[in-house]
Amino acid sequence: MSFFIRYIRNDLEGVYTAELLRGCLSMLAAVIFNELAAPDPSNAYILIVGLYGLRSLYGSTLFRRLGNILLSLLLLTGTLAVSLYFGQEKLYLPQLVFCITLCSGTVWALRRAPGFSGTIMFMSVFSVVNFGMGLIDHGHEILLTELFKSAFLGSAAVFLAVLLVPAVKIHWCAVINLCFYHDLREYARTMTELGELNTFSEIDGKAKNRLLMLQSSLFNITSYVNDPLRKNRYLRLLNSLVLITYWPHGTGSSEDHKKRIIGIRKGLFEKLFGVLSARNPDTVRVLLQELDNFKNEISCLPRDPFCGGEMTSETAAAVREIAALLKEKLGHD
Amino acid sequence: MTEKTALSAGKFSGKSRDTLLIRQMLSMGLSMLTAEIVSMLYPVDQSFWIALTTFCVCLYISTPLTALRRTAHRILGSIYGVILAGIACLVFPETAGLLTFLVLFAGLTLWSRAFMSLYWLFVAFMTASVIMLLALLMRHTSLTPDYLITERVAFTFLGAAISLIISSLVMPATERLDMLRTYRHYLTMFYLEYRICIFRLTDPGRNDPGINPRDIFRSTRTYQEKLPVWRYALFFNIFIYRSFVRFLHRIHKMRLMNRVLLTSISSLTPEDLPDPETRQLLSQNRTETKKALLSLIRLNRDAASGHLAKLSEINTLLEKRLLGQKGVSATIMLTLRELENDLSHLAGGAVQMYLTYKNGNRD
Repeated sequence: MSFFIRYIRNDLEGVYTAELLRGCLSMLAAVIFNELAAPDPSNAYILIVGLYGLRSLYGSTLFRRLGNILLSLLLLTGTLAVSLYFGQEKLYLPQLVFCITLCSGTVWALRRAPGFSGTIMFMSVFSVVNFGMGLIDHGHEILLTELFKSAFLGSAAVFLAVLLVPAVKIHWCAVINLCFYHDLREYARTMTELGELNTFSEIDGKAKNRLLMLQSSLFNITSYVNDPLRKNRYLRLLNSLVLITYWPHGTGSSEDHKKRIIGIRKGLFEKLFGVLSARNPDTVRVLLQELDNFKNEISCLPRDPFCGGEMTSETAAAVREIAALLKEKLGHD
Repeated sequence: MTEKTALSAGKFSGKSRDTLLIRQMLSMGLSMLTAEIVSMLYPVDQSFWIALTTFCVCLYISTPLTALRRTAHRILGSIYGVILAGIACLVFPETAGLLTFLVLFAGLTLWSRAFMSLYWLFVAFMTASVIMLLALLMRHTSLTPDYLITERVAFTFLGAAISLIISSLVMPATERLDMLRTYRHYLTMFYLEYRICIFRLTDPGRNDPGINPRDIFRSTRTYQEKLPVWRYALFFNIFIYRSFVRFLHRIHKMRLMNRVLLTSISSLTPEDLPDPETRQLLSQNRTETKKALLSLIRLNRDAASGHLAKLSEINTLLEKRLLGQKGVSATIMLTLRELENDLSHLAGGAVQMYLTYKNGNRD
């Protein structure tokens, strides 16, 4: 589960997942075409061109994306033909010039023309590989006409994959909320495990790294939530939780104040961890009630001379948001 | 910074980016030239793997150390990939088996791209995919799959070494400068946010933007992404590396404390707003904080300590006034004290000492 969450955390836009689906479909189609085609040494080019389905899609409309892919496939097929010819004819110098131009062009395109970089990168890679293939094709078994036929079949596999998965990115929909609650639970767990903190410096580097990673991840996940109401709720909750985590109670304050701040922090995160870990809807309801009681308890505490009640109000805000979110979730269930 | 200097700074950074791009292209061109010549001279059929490795290592590098890191990942990934593909080729040598593993490894190559920091994982699956493809390509030749996977690791070493040597000759080593720049950048960012908070108290009429925690997290992530390359630049000196990590934690916390300050300030009622004398002290606090930070930026620890001592005196005076008022003002005072402590830690921290030792005092 956490491996899956880690994967989504790294691909919140869904770009890599869209590429993964498209690439697999393209390769699968290429493999099928390869098996159906009459045996020929050039059949491998069906697979080589089919590999092109692994690249990213560019263009605002499907028509443009198909146009870009078509142009790229033409350039790739041309590169394959040229480098094969250079290899078969042992034309080292032209290959050097051709390969260096393409490779340097890739570096340039990565900075200046990212939309074209995938095309030129594939061209560079296959100019190197195909020249090597040409060099070992001593009997000139691979004919250019056959290469073009295979490239056509490979291109068909790529087009098929693009038509089946035309999206540049995939939205994770409800899965993104799952990630949010997972990371929130982990955050609450880490804070609970840390226990009563007098100063933030007490925490070891590993735990600090973990907290930082989870905070970044939570804010990052929130930016990919489409529903504005839910997004605002998430943001308000996170803002409050971050403030509660770092709220100062150090130099110059009384022991009572320190105790109160530490108590509120500890109590909130323990209860938050409990409610987020609960699986049974009835248990969630009971724990939500406990969380609400906790909010009321801290609101009724006598006034702290070292605090204007900001910590209490931030805690109340966090409890309100999480309660609203979980009640909504329970309603959906 | 005036508009003119800002513009010229922009032009300068644009120019330096151009120079970097030219160097990257030169590094790629020279590396590929060397790799192609070596692979042409190498008396083995599959020697194009040398040029292919060189190309992959040379992509996305900006300094010799980024090349070194990619080289390490590349070699490690290639070894894993060869082992993976080797097992697949030897256990399932039939065409159907090769095709199945080709699709599987190609899919895993794409999947591994989501784990950006694990470049070796991507290389492992990519190597395995290419080996499967080559095994299929060579079905009609006398070459056997086990032949295809032999020498692959040696070629990877050779190709990576070429790009590493060329990039160390062509690319500028900028990590140390980058460490200093980053250190200065984060101190400046902290001050700019701190200034917003103090101005809210001393000059409530000013129209400053707020502090967005998302920006703080984004900025922290940029720092985190630099750390793996710095690990190489620090020659794996664990103590200094951990100090850089600790600096990140502290500055991140300090910036979030500014958010705490701002939250407390926003809940002040008009009657709670500081009186003119307190405002004067808050202005002095801001000025001394600025001076202390400037001294840290200039790597002058003694001057920073002097300003921090003055800041402590000002905070003691502020404490008498703000803690006397209790309520929200007390939280503000506690935060100011906490930030003062953090600044003292920064002044005496290992990062400051390391940067001073490496770059010298800039005063």
